[in-house]
Amino acid sequence: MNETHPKEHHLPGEGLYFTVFLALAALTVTELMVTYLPFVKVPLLLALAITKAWLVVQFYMHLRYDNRLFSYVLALPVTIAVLVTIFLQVLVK
Amino acid sequence: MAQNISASHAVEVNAHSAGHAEENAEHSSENRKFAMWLFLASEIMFFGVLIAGFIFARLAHPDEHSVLNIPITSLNTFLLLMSSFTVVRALAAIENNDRLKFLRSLALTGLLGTLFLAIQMFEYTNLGHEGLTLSGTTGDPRSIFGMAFFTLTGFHGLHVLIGVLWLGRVFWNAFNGKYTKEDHFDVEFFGLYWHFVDVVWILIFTIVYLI
Repeated sequence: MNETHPKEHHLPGEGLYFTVFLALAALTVTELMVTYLPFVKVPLLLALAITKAWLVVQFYMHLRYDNRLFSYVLALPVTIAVLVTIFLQVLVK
Repeated sequence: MAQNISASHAVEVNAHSAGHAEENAEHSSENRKFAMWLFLASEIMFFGVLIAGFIFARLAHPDEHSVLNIPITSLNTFLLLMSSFTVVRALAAIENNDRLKFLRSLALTGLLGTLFLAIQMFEYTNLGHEGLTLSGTTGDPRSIFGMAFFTLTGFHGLHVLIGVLWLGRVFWNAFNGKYTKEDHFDVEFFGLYWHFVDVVWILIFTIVYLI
């Protein structure tokens, strides 16, 4: 009964963390530029924001390397929150 | 004979428990991480609803957001993004037994978080002068935009403040040598909360200020 559970800590390391930071900064600058566009800016900005959030969650919060269960646990409230946000606008109109 | 058997049995049981202790420690880390993710799931619901309310207020009062200051808030965004980098850098440092970098990165994270709060308060004051308050706008005292804006960003700021205070405690522990390469779960645990606060800001920045 002395099985050693290998720690799933093949952690990315600072190099990857910094690369992710650069990507986040670049995406932010892109967002600032996109604000000058007309209507198309809304889906673009949302896509950029979601990408940034995804990067932080997957790499900084380590979700990509963790137990799959955590990802499923996260997917549910995110889905519900998005649906609530959409339906609140539709219903109250 | 019976005594010998029970003595060696006791040794076996102890070794068995020690093995389980190590297993249990890892399981406990896994469980605590899971608990944090469950908590973050509830926070997603909380902020989700506040964001939904803000979007409604924004659609009802489409012009009032023009008073918001994008350059200052962009700076805040970069500060928080940097702070997410520094906190995960701290984690990488302690996993490599680099105590100095670990402490420095934690301190930098706290500094960035505090700066964010200071700038946020400065922005709030300016907005007050421009006429945007919690109870309404100067031009339209029945407008709910102010309420929606300050409630959403205010609760986020409160989360940042809690994070900074928590970080103070983590830093104090780290300074006193509590964390090692083998045992530093608290740091990762705190990091999850801090990154989440950053993710919420990423969404707030885009939805409130940019769109």
